[in-house]
Amino acid sequence: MNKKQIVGATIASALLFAPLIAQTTTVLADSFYANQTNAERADITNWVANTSEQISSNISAQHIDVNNLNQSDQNKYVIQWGDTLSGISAATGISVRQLAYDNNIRNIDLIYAGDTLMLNRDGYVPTDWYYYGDGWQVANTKVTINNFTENSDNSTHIDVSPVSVDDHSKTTNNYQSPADESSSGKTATGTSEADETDNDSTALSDSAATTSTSSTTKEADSTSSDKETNSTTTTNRLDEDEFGEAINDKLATKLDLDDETTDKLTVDFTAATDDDATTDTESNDDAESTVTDDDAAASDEDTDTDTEDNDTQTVYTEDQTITTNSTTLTTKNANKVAKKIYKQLKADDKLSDLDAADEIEVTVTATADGFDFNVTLTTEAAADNDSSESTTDADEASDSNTDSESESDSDSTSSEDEDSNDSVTTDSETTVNTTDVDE
Amino acid sequence: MRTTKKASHKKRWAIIGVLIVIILAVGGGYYWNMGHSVAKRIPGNTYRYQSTANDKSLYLTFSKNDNKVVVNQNKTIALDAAQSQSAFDKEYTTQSKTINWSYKAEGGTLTLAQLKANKVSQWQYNKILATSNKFTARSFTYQIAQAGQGQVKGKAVFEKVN
Repeated sequence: MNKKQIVGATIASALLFAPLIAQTTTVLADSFYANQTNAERADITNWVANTSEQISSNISAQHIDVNNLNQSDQNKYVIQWGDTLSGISAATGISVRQLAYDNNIRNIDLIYAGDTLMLNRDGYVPTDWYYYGDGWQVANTKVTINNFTENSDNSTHIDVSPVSVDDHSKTTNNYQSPADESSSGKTATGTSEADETDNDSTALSDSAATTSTSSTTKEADSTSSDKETNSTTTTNRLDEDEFGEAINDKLATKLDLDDETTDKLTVDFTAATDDDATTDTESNDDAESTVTDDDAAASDEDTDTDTEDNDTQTVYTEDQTITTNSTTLTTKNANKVAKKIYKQLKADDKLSDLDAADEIEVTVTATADGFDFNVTLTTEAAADNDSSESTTDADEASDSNTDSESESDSDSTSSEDEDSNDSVTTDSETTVNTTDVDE
Repeated sequence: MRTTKKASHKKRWAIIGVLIVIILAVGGGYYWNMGHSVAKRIPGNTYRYQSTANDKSLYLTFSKNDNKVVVNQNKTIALDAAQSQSAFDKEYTTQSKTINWSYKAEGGTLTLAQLKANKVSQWQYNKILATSNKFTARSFTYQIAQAGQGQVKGKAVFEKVN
């Protein structure tokens, strides 16, 4: 065998095996699901919280020494079924806050089985870092576990249900993983599920345009460890908070905000409803700050830290309109909105103002045709600016009122409109789920 | 002589027939009872369920008086809940801080429902055969909030542990 043949064989082998090698390295987290059957995924034991002993056992099984969890070791734990963040905290001795910060998890009740968690006991958490949730919810799935064996209409039938009507009036179910990039192709009924996803989008779009859909489910808000595992959702419907987060992320990228400065950008997204529109109008009529926070914790902290010496100004006197083909709350649309916002700010020479500001708040509101947006900039003013101080204080008072109104609106409507679009029926005492799929 | 022999033969077959009918009736009745007794067997008892992957166990203590169920991976907690109504209520209250579990058994079906953050997930175990020390389902149907729905054909065994 001459040199040419050897080189040729080597190249051919490399080409042949490269995809395998690449796949092995890139889908490490997803391999968690690869060897599981739907029966194993849907097993009830996966949806009951593991004891801290069980989690300790899981950690040991991954050859992680809980007595030596310092930063240099870069210990990475693959979250298992039944894990909770509080359980992991108890098993490792790392505070929930530390775990949340190190892994960029805002909603500690939304973690995913198969995601990788950095375990670092010696880390530092900035004082202004906040998260929400209690950390008691078990890890969710990143893949939708649909397994229709008998019904051609892709439905399941619960004949005997213990859940009472009263309970159901409070429930809103969606039988699709929030992290599932695309349910099609992952089950035996891929095509029809893809159709269902389309229906989901349509339904959500409709509700966003015509009804109050302040779906404030905590799950929505997680930026979570998705970043590590690249589980970017591109086609799934998002709720308001997720949509706002998606715009935030994209806009931060477009504005070249690094890890340190990315916190100064917040995006507040509101679906189009009569009530919300009223709130927005009230806020904008102030002509100055419109401080809206994603959650109570943030609200409290921001109020505490920003009560003095701040100048706020609204970039546009009137909300700017962005026209999009669809108002569906998807990551794809969020990226589009972010790009259009950036484009308009650039065209209007507002980017320099944004650079100079200490806080950038982008308010995005869905309308029937697209989205409206405005930007509020907050700059730390000099201490001797008495007049501006008094104005700001007054505005803050009104802002806090606006905040509380918004929160109560969200609470009262959060359970109503989160639609489930998979066909589900329950014979017994009630129907589990509203059915939006057109047969 | 021949007539007597024939009559005797006939009588023998009649007895055998009756015996077969009795056996079938008893066997069928027993089978029918196994297939419809889960509802009366489980209240007040604790069962252990082994996961499909055989890597985890779950303990379920069913309330005697209502549709509540304590679901835990900790056997001690589950067994404690089975001691008395007050013990059950105590464990259930603790569990309810994060999650509510309930059950309904009817005929050969048992459904376990989980209510968490205003979302319901249900696992319905179908075609259950129950004996005094365990019950076995031939399949289960699931609707898991934000996860998926479907049916799994496979044996699920719940062993009584108290």
